[in-house]
Amino acid sequence: MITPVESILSELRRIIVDIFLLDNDHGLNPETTAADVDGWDSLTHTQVILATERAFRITISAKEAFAVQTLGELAQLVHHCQERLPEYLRGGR
Amino acid sequence: MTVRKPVVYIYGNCQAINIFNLARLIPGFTEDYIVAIHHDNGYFNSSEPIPIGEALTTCAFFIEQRSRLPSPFDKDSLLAPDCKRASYPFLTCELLWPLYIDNKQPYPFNNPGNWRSNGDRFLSALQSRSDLTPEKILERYLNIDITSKIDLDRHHDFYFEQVADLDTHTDVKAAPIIAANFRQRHLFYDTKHPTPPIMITMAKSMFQYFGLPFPFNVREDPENFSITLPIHPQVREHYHLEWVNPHSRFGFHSPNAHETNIYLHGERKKDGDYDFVSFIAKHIGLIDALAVGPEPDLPDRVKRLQDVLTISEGIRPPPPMDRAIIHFQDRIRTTIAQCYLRMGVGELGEELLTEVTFRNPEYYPALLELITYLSSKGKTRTLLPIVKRYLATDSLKHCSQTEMRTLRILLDSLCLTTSSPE
Repeated sequence: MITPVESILSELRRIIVDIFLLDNDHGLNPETTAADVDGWDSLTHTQVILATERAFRITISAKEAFAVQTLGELAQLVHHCQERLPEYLRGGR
Repeated sequence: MTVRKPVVYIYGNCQAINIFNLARLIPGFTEDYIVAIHHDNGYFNSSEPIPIGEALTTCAFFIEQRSRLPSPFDKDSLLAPDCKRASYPFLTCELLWPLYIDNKQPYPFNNPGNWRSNGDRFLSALQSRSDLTPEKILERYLNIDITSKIDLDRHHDFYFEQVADLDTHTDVKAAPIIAANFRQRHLFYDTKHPTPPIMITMAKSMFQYFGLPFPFNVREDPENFSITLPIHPQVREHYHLEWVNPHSRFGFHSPNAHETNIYLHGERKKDGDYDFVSFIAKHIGLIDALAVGPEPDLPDRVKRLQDVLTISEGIRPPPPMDRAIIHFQDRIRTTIAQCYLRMGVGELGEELLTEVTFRNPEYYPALLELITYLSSKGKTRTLLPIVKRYLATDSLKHCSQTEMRTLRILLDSLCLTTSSPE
């Protein structure tokens, strides 16, 4: 059974592939850090966060955004942000 | 015993070098202080010889740049207890370049030396497709409504939230300065390189924090966009930017430029100045013919330009790109006219420039070219009605100061006068 965080991770992989023009998501796993992805720096992190917000219809604060270290942590953060929402707004794209 | 001057020790990246240079320009400052710069890449320099270790351990003032990354520079155990310290943030501005990507495909070749290039992720995505011709890439790129893909209001809020968050860790703050000025003033050349106005403002805050003299004030913004990354027209319109306009032209630097520092003075290896659409077209290899150089193949160049013009006439993007592409087309027509003038068929060039000038009065480069040509031929009678018509409009408001100076000289030579748009 796919957990909510795994499902989020799958969507995050799509976002990372899209922004950084990767050929595929093969190298992206919960332990992936920004340093592992060519071009993912503190500036492009903004695009990752905004695309994530858009995909999951959530709002992430700058403090939260820059505290995450790995893709897995970002997925956990998205899950946490979703749980802050009223139920009728959860779900993403 | 000789008493050494107090040391002002400045640490950080290339932005710190700006502060170092400003400090050395303060009249008499280096007579009273030693100013030292320690770049985070290891480079060290000082206004007079002093070993790096001694400068650090004896410095009276320590100015440190902070970013989101932990500093690799362990100075806390080395600084003297009575050393006065001030910190400032690493200034960045993805706000104005929301499509920024540190890219494998260099765009716009605008960064000198071997620096990683500032890229545009939508354009790069199109370029990575082998099935698209440059014509199709241009058409698709210009048709992208970036406001439908990026929430620019949210982008704005998130940007300032994160700048303010970094400010909480520094003594001198950037967010209030950027927020108060980014619409009116040219504060950044690209995502990581601030212009003199913001650096002077930041440096002044730091020196005042220490009670040190800093007599400089921001007087004017950089006039040209020679090293400025092009601003997307939709970004310009959305944020109501006043310092950039549809006519703003951005320097295109060849990939083999050999500059080592964006702030160094001197001639840059530039391959012309381009409005936004021309810049994109040049970047994707569509309009190498746009720069009029000493090439012998002018007829062939005219042919290529006419082909590009035909292609561009089939592109009908949404506003504000629709106006941008009209300027792009008139840029091409003006370049064709310049080729005609060089080929010795002045009447064709004059005719084309006159057509552009009357059909699109906003495209003032054609007017400047026409005035220059008519003046050189002594065609005052033809020139006068054109100039009078222009002086009655505000078409020249986007002229740079240099262009206005050139225009004034030309008009003065004809005993005409014009008012400055400044």
